[in-house]
Amino acid sequence: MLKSDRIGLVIVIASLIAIAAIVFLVFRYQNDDRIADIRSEGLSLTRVLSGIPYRQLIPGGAQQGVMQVLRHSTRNDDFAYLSIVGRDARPVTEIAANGVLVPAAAVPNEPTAWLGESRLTLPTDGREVVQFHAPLFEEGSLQGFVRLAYFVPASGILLAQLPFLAMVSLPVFLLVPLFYLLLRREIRPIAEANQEISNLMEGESFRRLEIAATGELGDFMRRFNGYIEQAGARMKALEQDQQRLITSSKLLTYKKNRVETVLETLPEAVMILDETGAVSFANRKLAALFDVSPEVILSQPPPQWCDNPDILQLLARYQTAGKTRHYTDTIRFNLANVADKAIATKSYPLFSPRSPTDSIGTLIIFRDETQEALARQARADFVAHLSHELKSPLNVLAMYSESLLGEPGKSDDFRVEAANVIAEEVDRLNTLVTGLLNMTQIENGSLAADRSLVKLRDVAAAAFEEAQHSAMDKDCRFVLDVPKEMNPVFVDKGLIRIAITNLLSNAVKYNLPGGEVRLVIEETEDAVQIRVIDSGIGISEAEEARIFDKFYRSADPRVQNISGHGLGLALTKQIVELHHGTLSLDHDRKQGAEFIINLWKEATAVRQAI
Amino acid sequence: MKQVLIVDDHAAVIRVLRLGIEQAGYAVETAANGSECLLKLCNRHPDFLVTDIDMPQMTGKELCLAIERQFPDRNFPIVVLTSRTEFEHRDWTANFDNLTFMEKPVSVRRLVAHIEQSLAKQTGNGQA
Repeated sequence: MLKSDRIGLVIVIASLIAIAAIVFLVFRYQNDDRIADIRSEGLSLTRVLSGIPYRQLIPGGAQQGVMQVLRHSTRNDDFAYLSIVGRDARPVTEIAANGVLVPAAAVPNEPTAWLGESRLTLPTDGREVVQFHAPLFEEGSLQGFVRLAYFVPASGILLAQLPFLAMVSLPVFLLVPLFYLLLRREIRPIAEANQEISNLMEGESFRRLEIAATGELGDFMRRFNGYIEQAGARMKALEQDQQRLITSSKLLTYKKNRVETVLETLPEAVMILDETGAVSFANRKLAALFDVSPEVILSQPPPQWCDNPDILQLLARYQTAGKTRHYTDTIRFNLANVADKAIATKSYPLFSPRSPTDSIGTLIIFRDETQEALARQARADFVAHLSHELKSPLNVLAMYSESLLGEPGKSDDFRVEAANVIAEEVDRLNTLVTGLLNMTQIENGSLAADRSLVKLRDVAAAAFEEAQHSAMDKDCRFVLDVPKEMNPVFVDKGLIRIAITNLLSNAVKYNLPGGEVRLVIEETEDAVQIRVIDSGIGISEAEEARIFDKFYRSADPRVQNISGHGLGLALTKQIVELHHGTLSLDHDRKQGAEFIINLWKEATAVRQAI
Repeated sequence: MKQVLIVDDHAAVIRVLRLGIEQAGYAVETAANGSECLLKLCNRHPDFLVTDIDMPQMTGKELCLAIERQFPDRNFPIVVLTSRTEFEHRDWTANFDNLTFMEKPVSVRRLVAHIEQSLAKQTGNGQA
């Protein structure tokens, strides 16, 4: 609306300028017309006067009348003066309008200039006049000049022309509102279209403009709507493309997340190198291995997060090697920050699924082989122990048998001694081999507990008596504390007896002179507890964790001086665990040792129910 | 009379070795473990040392290393009786002179022969 008001204002101003121009042109035209009239009259009158003999014009008598007649025949409004001058320019006679003083003027000398016109300014009021002059003759000789002057028309006439000017301006004035209305009518559809487009822009919708228009504007609207339809179709296609892209991007993100989740879930630390050898993925386990965040591994060069020369060398190889080279060898190393861990890397080239010959990077798996290394070490230790345990008795047997054949064998004393030593060593070997066999069978699962309902009291008593018998030569007190009435328990009779015998054997072996060995069985609501208590050398806190390890023997000289293989407790523990029970050590004991076997009745009950 | 020092934690082994070696004409001194042996070495060096490898308190390996450290000018030969003689169980003796391994089961006769041979060689060298 403001716009059309401004257009209206411009139209009014333009029309006023047009009217002013018309008035100016009309005035100029009329002024020029008047000046032309004055010139025509002035020239013709002076020529007429020039034709009249000089004497007839001289004042006096009837001649005065000629001048007067002439004066009154001229245009009254413009007449300034009429003067006759002599050849010396001296005024002879003159008639002037009211208040006009005829100015003095030189007369022309040259005959060519005798007739002419000039512009003069009146000395009295400074008004400008046009003066016409012509020579006056008397019988062919120059007697003087006639000077006839008119006022130059002034603007005063404008007022007189006012009605005329008003008449001329009126149509222009009438045309202005008509013009304006027509214009308003023409631009209304444009304004509407403008508004519609604004609405569309605000509403962010995209549709045809329904504006009724004809002519050029109609053409424009048709083309504009055509363009809108084209743009709409294009936009729809783009939106569909975008939707497809979003969907495929979501799918890719999902797939990427899935792959990353899989890589994160892997028990191994994983690193992926791109084809340039730069790290493009590192899972959290890998980051933990190097004690940094995965972002650091991705964003910083390897020397910033890794100080292991083997890994740096490995990564450097992938950065310098061409696409065609792959390394699949395994590298084993220890990391500085986790020195007790044995890590092995294995590299796998990654091939593009579309082009199986194109390598798109490398997968490096960092496997924690600590357990394997420990197992290897344990196996090596086991073999070392075993060879020692086997060869030591063999050594004694070999030496004694050789000696029996030699000189010492001739002595009866030596033969008796040798027989005893050989029997002792054979016994030792037998115990070792039996223990090893039992343990191996339990470990392999080939020795299943052959369970039956057993009177534990009888089994315990038998083991107790055996231990007591074998320790006859020892200064040791034996106490058996078993309830008279006990529910039978569901166990492997033979294995449980081995377990109890082992504990009792230890209790005797590591006892002190005058010590006590006590076997206690207690039945509670949910368990049967077998306790073997001694008053011997006891077990230090440092050793508690290892006493159940195979072949472990305390470094204590009191232990070392006693024959043993370090298999008894390991075997006992395996037997108890085979029965889903627990074997533990009473940590609070100040003197001696107390081993506790807990056999859960629940398991018994379940088994019976089945 | 040349003296042989036997270090072993097994009394029966010491007994049978003593019989065999004494019969060959040597004086026999015994120690039950490495530390006892080191104490005896402070008093007197034997002409020959026989040691077991697996002993309580101080093993044969520890004993040999201690001897090498404490008595760098040792001139008596050492025989180590061991269950295993593979290289990895012997590599700690790479810088040792005059030390041999004898794998169990050990023949007393062969051991005595080795002692005699070593001592004869040493005497021969000393005479030369």
